[in-house]
Amino acid sequence: MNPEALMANRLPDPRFRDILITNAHMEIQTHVQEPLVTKLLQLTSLSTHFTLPLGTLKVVDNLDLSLEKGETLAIVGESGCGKSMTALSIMRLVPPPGSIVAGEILFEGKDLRSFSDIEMQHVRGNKISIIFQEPMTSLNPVFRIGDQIAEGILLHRKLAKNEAREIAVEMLNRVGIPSPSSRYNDYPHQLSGGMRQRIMIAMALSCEPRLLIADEPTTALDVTIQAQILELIDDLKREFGMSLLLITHDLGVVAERAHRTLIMYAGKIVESGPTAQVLRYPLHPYTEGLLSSLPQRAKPGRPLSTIPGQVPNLLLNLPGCGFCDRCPHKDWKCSTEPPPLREPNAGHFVRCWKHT
Amino acid sequence: MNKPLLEARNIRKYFSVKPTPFAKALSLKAVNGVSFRLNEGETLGLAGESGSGKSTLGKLLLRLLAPDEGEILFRDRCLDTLSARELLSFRKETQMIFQDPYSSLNPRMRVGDIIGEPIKIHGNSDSAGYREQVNVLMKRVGLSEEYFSRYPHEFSGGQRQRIGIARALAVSPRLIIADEPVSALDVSIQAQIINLLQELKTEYKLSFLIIAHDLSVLHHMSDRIAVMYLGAIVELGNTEQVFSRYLHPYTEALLSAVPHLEVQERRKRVILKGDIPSPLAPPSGCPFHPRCPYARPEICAVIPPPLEEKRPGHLAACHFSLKQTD
Repeated sequence: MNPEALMANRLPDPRFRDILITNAHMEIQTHVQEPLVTKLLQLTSLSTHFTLPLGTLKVVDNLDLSLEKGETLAIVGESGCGKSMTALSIMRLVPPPGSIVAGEILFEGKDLRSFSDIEMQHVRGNKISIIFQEPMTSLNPVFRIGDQIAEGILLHRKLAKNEAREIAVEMLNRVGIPSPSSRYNDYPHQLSGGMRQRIMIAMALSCEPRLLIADEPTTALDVTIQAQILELIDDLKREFGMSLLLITHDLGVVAERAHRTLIMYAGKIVESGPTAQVLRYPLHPYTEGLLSSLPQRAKPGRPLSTIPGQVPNLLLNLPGCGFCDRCPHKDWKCSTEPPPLREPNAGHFVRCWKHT
Repeated sequence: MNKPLLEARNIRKYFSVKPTPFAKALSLKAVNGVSFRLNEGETLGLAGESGSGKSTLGKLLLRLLAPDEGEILFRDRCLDTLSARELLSFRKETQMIFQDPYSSLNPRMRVGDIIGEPIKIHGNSDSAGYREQVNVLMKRVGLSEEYFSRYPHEFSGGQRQRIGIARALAVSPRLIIADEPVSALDVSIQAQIINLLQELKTEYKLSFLIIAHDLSVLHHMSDRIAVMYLGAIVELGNTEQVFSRYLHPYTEALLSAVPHLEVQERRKRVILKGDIPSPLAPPSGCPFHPRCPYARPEICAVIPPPLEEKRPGHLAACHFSLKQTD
């Protein structure tokens, strides 16, 4: 039996699950009028693998995810867990030797995997935009920032240069750059880190995308600037009616911004559900461990609780649960059989033998 | 325990900077009149945004840079007056842990030699004892002795940080300055390293100066906290005072910017406008006044507020601080 079919058996009926998720979100998303046809993005058993001389690295392994219109979904995990690769897979920008080997990426009902490269170019930056962590390296140092914003607009819309320039200035204004028309001519090195991230946001939103993917958008910034940028993204999200896929390792950011949260570990989703539920009543031992290792949750000066050990080497392709070596509740079954994703509470999923 | 180990008296460090090749040189006031005292066995946390001068201050305290003005006293002796030999023994007593575990280890040296290098430099290097010392250190920070002959690239970020810590401990220092020791690490690894530092502190009776921008890390580890803004300390007090009875509006803004774990908790949020001003052209009067929600231009833009003791042991540099909080 092929692994996909196996996985399909373990999952609850997908239609049923969708209704549950939608219902859980009715309270939060009052501005969404037609909750049943609001699915913007749906990944079904997405697998992205890296083929290396030493073996195959399953960086994203059989991942299911759905995102509603206007929703903020957070993907949380440590470095190497596959959260950024999930984002790059959606954009079809996985660098070689990696490739998407299986699964569907349904965006507005169409599978992005079936798109040609040219068709994909009309999606990137136009319907789906991405902001990266490093505002220093994602801007071209030898072009004026305004021209870099206008470039995307010219590419996706049939506009004259001066019209694109007007839109770019308007975008600079929208993201809170003071005196935007003179700042249009600045080069990236003339701006601070926070300002550069604002430029990246202006660039990403210039074509009014339906989906914004923010990959660690504030990790390189100071806390006071982080608060500004997150507030700005939230405001613009509401204004444009976008959906947001927020990739981060900061559980505090998640608590304040995301409707739903996915926790990833070693290429797999280990837990997902409404943010408040996941953070208040975590089901997976990894989520519990992450939350209790935060200094905020400990008494000052007392030892923090830790998750022993390290992330497993994905090349080893261990059978069973990827977390079992570090898990305090490990059982004989954990190291031999991979646990299925189950739904103990409506809308709250977990991949652990403890909850089957 | 209340003997001062390290004391800074009004130290200043200015760098001369040319914004463009032909412009007149401007002076960048990286550290602008900082005074504090670090007692033996104490952990002092240094908080502030990037560009506030925290790292320059750390380098000045280790005498990797010399201050332009003011003096630094270690065990009541001014660092300026030390002879070359005395300076070497000062360096033995003060060590540093760096932020980036990738660039702070020499990729061509074996791990054992990285950890043992300070021992060689500061004498005491008969080969048998040396190997034994390194093994003890490696075991203490949680590295297996078998790793002695491996190279840094074979280790993860958390393990590299352990190597850096073992190297700092090698000469049994009294004071460790840790510049963002955990900010490059993942959450679960971060907790391991914080615990290790705390254990070592009591075991080796160390004093720590921890530079960090993550306030929850500082809250957890520090006895006292100094908040820096544009090269000056704006608030200094014990951890409890600074976190729950802060006096300076900048501290308030820093604390309220930290994302909170409790979902949907309504709290007063102060979001600062704009960036930290350029230290090349610091604002007049109080350096924080252009971003301060409480500033009164007629006073704050004119008179720089001195760092004063507003409550016993709790200092702040603000004209209005007590009126806001009490």
